[in-house]
Amino acid sequence: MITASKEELVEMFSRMLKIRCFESAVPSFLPYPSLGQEAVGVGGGMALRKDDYLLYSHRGLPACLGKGMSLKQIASGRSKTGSPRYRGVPMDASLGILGVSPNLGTDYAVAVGAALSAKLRGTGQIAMKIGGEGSTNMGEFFQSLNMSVIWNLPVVFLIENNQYAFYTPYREVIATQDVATRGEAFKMPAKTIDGNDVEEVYLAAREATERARAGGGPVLIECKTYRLAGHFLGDPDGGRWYRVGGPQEIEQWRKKDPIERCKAKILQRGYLTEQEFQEIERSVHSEVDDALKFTQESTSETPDDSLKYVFAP
Amino acid sequence: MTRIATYREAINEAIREEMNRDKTVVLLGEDVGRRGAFDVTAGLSEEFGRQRVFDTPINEPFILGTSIGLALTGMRPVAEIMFQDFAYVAVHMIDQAGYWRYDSVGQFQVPMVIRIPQGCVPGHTEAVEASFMRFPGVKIAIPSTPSDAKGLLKTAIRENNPVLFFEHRRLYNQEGEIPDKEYTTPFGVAAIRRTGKDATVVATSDMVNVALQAAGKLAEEGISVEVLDLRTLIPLDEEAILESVRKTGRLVTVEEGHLTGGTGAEIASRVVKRAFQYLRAPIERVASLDIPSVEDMVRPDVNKLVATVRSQISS
Repeated sequence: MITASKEELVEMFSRMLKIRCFESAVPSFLPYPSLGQEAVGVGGGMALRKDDYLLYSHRGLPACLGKGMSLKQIASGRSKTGSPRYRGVPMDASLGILGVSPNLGTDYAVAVGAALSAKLRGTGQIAMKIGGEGSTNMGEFFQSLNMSVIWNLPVVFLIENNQYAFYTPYREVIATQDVATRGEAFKMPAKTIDGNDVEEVYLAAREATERARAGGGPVLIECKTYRLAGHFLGDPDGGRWYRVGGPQEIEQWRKKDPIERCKAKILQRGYLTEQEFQEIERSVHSEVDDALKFTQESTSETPDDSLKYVFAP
Repeated sequence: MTRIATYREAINEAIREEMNRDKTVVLLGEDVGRRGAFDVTAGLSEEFGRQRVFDTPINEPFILGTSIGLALTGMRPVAEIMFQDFAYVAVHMIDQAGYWRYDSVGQFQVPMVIRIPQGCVPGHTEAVEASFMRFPGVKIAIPSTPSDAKGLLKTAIRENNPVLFFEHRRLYNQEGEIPDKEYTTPFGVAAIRRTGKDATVVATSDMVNVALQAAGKLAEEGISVEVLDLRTLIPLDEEAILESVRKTGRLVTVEEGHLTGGTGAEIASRVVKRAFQYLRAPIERVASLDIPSVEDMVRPDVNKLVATVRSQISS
């Protein structure tokens, strides 16, 4: 059975924990909490190479960290001293992180364009688009599946099915119940996996990306996960009132927490001792504390500065 | 020095020259690899191959989204929207194209051209360029002659920003002189197509022809009209408009799109702000009526423009 290496698994744990702590400390930074679904972005992002392209969902911090941005970079990017700088959602051209479109679900087509670009230039780069199940109802999703198969593009669609799009349960808007089934209509290889097992996400993503890189065409991977928090920071009642199975549904899924499960795996395989874990956790908290300082920096721009970068020269 | 070519040929030439000059330029859209709906891209897929000239499904958001992805990652796509109103199907993509550089604080650029043929016919009754003046980060070129069609399109393809390039179907067969040598036409520089002193008429695309014909008729009545061809709406050559208005004291804008929220509305606002004291009469806007019809009585024509200028002069 293929597994991730010790280094990889420990790194995945560490990154998921960083996001968890960071979001807990500054929930307003990117007010769409990733609580409970950190494994998808981290596992998916880590499967990519540095020069691969990544578009993510609006719950984007796990993916950015997975792709290789540091917490400090994420935290400082909106201020003048950031490196790289971004306005809004994190972007890093040196890591191929294209960001996410403000119009949900439209950037499946942008991922197609990036993959097509890589294919035309013959560089071996691939593109990955991470999106929530709700966004797969946009027309661009269907057309992107269709045309990436016809054009045989090196693109991987990683769907985070956290079961709720804002307040709406996925069963009310997805006829096939599984998003992966939608791939069949377009002859796209598709699978459904446990999105709360970061190793499974990582291995599935790696297999898909290598297949794509070798010219094997696009792949659709649906990661079953769950959004423990509300859609948005300000959700009434912490986002518990619309759960199909009542608030206790959240508690059921808390037991499947991806960070806890990753830790259990690492301990079970004897990769780390409990004490070594505490070292890691100390280090993570320290890194988060350092990053927090950067979130205090001013992100406001002078009227003159705000006019810059509308057009490229 | 120059030779005669049609507007259609000029566009085809521009694309061919730029595709030869820069291997990252690709052409995509519905049927573009198979001559195109109006024969504009004929011969290009044969010359450059199906890797660089390729057909897409009927899905404008997909065409433009793919173009954004290509442009963000080192390619220079020239996409086509077959009929102008189809651009409305993908407004959010045009909006996004203008956003990416800004939000990445210059990390990314989006060098893409969207060619959009216009011309009111049944089923496609609107001229849409005015709608897109509102998208920051997106430029607009709108040629009225073969020479400008070629020059502006070459500039558009070399631009490192998204550019909407509005062609006009009624102009495709129009002939004009094109320089033999390599040239581009700059953005933001209006052309004075006819000098005059009694009124300034500002127009783009096929309305420039309407304006010139109207100016000819008015000259017979002793009225001297200056005709300005804007060539690009973003950037807009405001100075050229102001300079002309300061001379004539009267402004008439003419456009094929609807009156409300049209290019004339934007230009009039700016001129009132910056040249109020030079105006001898209220600014007039000649445009299509605000109704979804393509009947001739809806659209601007020579007679309507003549009547408007005449009435403005005598007011």
